[in-house]
Amino acid sequence: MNSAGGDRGKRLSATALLPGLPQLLRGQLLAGLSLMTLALGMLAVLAVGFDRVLATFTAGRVDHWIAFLTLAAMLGLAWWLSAVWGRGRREEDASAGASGWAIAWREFKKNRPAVLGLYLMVALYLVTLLAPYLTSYDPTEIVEDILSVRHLAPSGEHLLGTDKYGRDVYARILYGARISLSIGFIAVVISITLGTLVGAASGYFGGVVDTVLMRLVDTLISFPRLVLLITVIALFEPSIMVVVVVLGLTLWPSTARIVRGEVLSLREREFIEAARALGLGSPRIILRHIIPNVMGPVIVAATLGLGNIILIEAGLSFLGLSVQPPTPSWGAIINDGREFLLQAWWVSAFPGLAIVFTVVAFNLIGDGLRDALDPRLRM
Amino acid sequence: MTAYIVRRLLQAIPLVLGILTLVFIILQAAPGDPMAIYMHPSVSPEVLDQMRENYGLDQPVHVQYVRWLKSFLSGDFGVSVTQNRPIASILAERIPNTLLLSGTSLLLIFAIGIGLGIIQAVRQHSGLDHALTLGALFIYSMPSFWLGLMLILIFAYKVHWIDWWPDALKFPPSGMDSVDYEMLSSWGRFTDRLHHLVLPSIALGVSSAASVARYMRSSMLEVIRQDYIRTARAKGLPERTVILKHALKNALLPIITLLGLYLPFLFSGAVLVEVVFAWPGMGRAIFDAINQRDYPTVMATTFVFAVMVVIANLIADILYAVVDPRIRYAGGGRE
Repeated sequence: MNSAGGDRGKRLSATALLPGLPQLLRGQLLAGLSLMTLALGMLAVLAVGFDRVLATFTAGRVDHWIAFLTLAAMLGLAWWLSAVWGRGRREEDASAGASGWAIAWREFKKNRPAVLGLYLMVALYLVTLLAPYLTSYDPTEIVEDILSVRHLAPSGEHLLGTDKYGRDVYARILYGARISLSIGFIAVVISITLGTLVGAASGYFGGVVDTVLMRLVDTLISFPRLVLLITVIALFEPSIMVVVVVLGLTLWPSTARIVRGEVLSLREREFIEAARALGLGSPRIILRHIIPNVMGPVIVAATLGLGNIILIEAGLSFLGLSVQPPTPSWGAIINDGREFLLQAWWVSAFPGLAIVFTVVAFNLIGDGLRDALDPRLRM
Repeated sequence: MTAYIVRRLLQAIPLVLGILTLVFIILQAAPGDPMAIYMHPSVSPEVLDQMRENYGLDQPVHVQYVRWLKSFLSGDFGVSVTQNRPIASILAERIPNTLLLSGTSLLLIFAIGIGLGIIQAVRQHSGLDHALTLGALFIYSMPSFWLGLMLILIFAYKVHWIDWWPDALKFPPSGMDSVDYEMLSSWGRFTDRLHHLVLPSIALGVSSAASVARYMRSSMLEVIRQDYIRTARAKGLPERTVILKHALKNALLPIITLLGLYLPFLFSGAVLVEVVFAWPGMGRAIFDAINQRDYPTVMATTFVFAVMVVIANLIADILYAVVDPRIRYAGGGRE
C-alpha cells in the first residue's frame, strides 16, 4: 500500500516535467496530446519570439501585456492540468449518475470532426491573444519608402507578402482576427440573450404577447440580413460599437423562433405546472425553469450563429461599413487587395482562407453540439 | 386552393405594413437632420423652412408616418438626391438585373444541390459521400465576395496565360454585357449575357448549393428507407427508376420550403456579389447610395428588397401547397 503510493508519486515527479506525459502513460490519449501540444506550442512561441516577449516590459502596450499574461497562463495551465488531470480517477461509469451536460460532453468527445473544430477554435483565440508575439511587423504602420516594400510576394521575410502600402499581410491577418472574433463573440452574446428572452416570453405567455413579438420577428426576418445591417449602419457612423450593437440587435429573431418552439412544448410539462402550483411568479418560472431547459438548442444556435456573424462582419467590412482603416479586419484586407488583384493576389486570398477556416471550425463545433445535445438523435 | 392563396395573401399585408413601419422607425431614429444636405451658407433659413414644409417635415411624426405609408404603397419613393430622378425609375432599371442574377443562382443552387444530394444519399458512407460532405462544409463556410474575387482572379485573369484554355471558358471579370452588346444579334446577346452571368451566379449560389445538398441528402435517405421504395425494388424495377421516379418526388417536398428560406440569404449575398462584379442591380444601387449618402434611395431599396422576400415566401408557400395537398387541407380545416 505504502510503497505503491510512493511509487506513483515518484513516477509523477519524473513524468510531470512534460505536460501530457502522465496522461499519455495512463492511456488518456486525447487529454495527453492536447496538453502536450498546448505546452510545446507555447514554448515554441516563447522560443521564436523571445525578443518580442522581452520587449513587453519596455513597449508599454496593453496588447503586449495581454499576450504575456496569456502565454504565462497557458504555460501554467498546461503544467497544472497535467499534474492533476485524471489522477486517481477511475474509469468513467456508463451513464449512472452522470448529468445531462456530462453525457453531452462524452458524446461530443466521440465526434472527431467536432473535436477538431474545438481545437481550431482554441488555437484561433490563442493566436488572437498572442498576436504581438507571432509577428514583429506592425499591422498599421506605413513605412516611408513605400515603393520598395509594396506588393512583395510571399517569402521568408513576409510570410504572406505585403499589401499596397507595404504592410505585412500576415501581421494584418493576425491582428484582424481580433476584430472578427471579438465582434462576432459580443454580437452573438447580445443576440442570443435577446432572442432567448423574447422567445421564452412569447412561448410562455402566448396570446397577444406572442402575436406581437412574432409579428416583429416575421418582419425582421423578411429583410435580407445584410441589407438591413448596411441600411442601419450607414445611417450612423460605422464604428466597432455601432457594428456590434446593430449586429446583436438584428440577428436575434431566428433564436427567438427556436426558443419559442421549445417553450411551447415545455409549457405543458408537469414540472412547469408544479412550479405554477407552488405559486412561483412568471419571471422566476421563465428564468429558473424554462430557460435552463432550452439551453441546448440555444447553444447550438449560438455556435452556428458565430460562424454566420463572422461571415456577415467580413461582408460589412468588405463594404467599408465596419471598423475603419487602418485597423485591420479580414473583410477590409480582402477589399484592400481587390484593386490590385492581379499584381498581388495574396492580399485578398489569405484573409479569405482565414475566414473559411474560422467559420469551418464554428460549424464543426455547432454540428457536434447539435448531435451531442439532442437526445432524440442519440437514441 | 383559392381560399388558401387568399388567406396567405391576407397574411402578407400586416407583414408589409410592419416592414414599412420598421423602415420609417430606422429613418426617424437616425441621427442628423434630413435637410442637412441642403444646408449651405448660400441657402437662407427661410428657404430651408420652406423646403421643410414642402417635404412635410414640420408635421408631427404620426402625420409624416401616414404620408410616408401612402406614398410608399403607391410606389412613390421620392427623388434620388444624387441622381435627381425618381427613385422608382432607378429601381425599375435595377430590379430585373438583380432578379436575373438571383434567379440564375437559384437554378444553379437547386440543380447542383439536388444532384449532389441524390448522389450522396445513394452512395451513403462511400468515399465520395465523405469527400462531398467535407467539400460542402468548406464551401458553405466561404464568404461569397471572396469566392467571387478568387473566381475573377482565376477564370477572368489567370487563364489568359494558359495557351490551351478554351476562349469560351475565359469569363469577363465584371459588368453585365460586353462593350459591343448593342451590335450583337439576339443569339449573340443571349450568349454574351450568359457569359457574364456565370461567375457571379456561381459566387452567389455555391454556398447555398452546398447546404441544399446537405438537406437533400438527409431527405433522400429518409425516403429511401420507406416501405414503398422497398416495394418498388421488390417489383424488380431498376434502381435508377426507383430513385429518380419514386423516391425523388417525395424527397423534393421539404426542399421546396428551402426556396423561401434561401431568398433573403441570396439577396444579402447579391449586395456583395454585385459590388464585386460591378453588376448593375439593386445591391450595387444600395451600396452606391450609401456611399453618396443618398438616404431616400437606401430606404426605398431596403423596402423593395424586403417586399421581394415576402413575395418569394408567398410563392414558395403556394408552390408547397400545390405539390403537397396535406398543407392546404390542414390549413383549411382550422377555420
